[in-house]
Amino acid sequence: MNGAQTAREALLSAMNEMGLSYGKEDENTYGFAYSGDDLPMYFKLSVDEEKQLIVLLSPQQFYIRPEKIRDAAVAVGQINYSLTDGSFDLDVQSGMIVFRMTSSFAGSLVSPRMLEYMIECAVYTVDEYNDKLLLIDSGEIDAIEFIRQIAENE
Amino acid sequence: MDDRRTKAVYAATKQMCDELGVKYAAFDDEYRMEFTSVGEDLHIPVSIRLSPENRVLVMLCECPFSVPERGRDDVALAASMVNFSLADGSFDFDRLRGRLRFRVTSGYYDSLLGKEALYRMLAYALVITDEYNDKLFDVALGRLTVSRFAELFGNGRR
Repeated sequence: MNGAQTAREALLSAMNEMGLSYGKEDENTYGFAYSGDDLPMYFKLSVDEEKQLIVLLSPQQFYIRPEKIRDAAVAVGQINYSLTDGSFDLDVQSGMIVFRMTSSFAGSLVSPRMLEYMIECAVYTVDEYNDKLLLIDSGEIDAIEFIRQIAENE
Repeated sequence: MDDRRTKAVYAATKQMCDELGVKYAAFDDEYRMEFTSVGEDLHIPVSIRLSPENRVLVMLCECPFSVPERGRDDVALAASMVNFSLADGSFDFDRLRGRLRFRVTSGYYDSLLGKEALYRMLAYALVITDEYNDKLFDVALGRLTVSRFAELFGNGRR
């Protein structure tokens, strides 16, 4: 069994162990929805054989308005600076935000427990910040005040 | 807390650096190593850290400049453009202090992170940092506008 197949087996085992109701989007990609504290979340996990990476993506269910792109860029930059794993990626043209997290399986043994950690970490992080980013878009949170709070909590 | 796996990954990381001839400073009690890589334009301070709590290995490549206040929003936008095009890693920007770094991580919870994965991570981190740190420096100083940065490097989509 090659690295990608092993990684895929570990991924399926992790999602089954966690009791997630997932669907298969294509040969290498699985997706599931998750209810958080505030906003609904969706996660896609795929095995990239070429790059030897397991990739988790969580596209946010809202878009940042053009007039708030600058504030959102400042906010995601500061959030990312405070994270150990994963990052929020902002498409400055469309206003889309995607949370991204990866793990390499090149020449490595990936366990289902590691992938459970990856999913748990991603769910926690997205749930922590998705509502704040939406409030920055609506103007209810000031971006500079928001990043000061992040820095204080580091 | 089981540190055996952290110790094993840390040892593999040191071995990789030794084989590459990297001259590093090791802080073994903290599972941390630091060294400087010479890039095409700017030098790259590198820090490799392991977290026994989270079982995550983090590679940080610092951009060796402080972004002046007037350039910080532009750097935040430019960093976002780069990040959206990447499959792995991210430029993280501390707007409050003007600090910019590239970060790439990999977990090893109940897993073995092999030398091939470590080597790929390090090589990738250095290549990406070297590719963009000078351009982001130009944006920071106002020598390159965000619009021009977007034209040159695109707001590429994965």
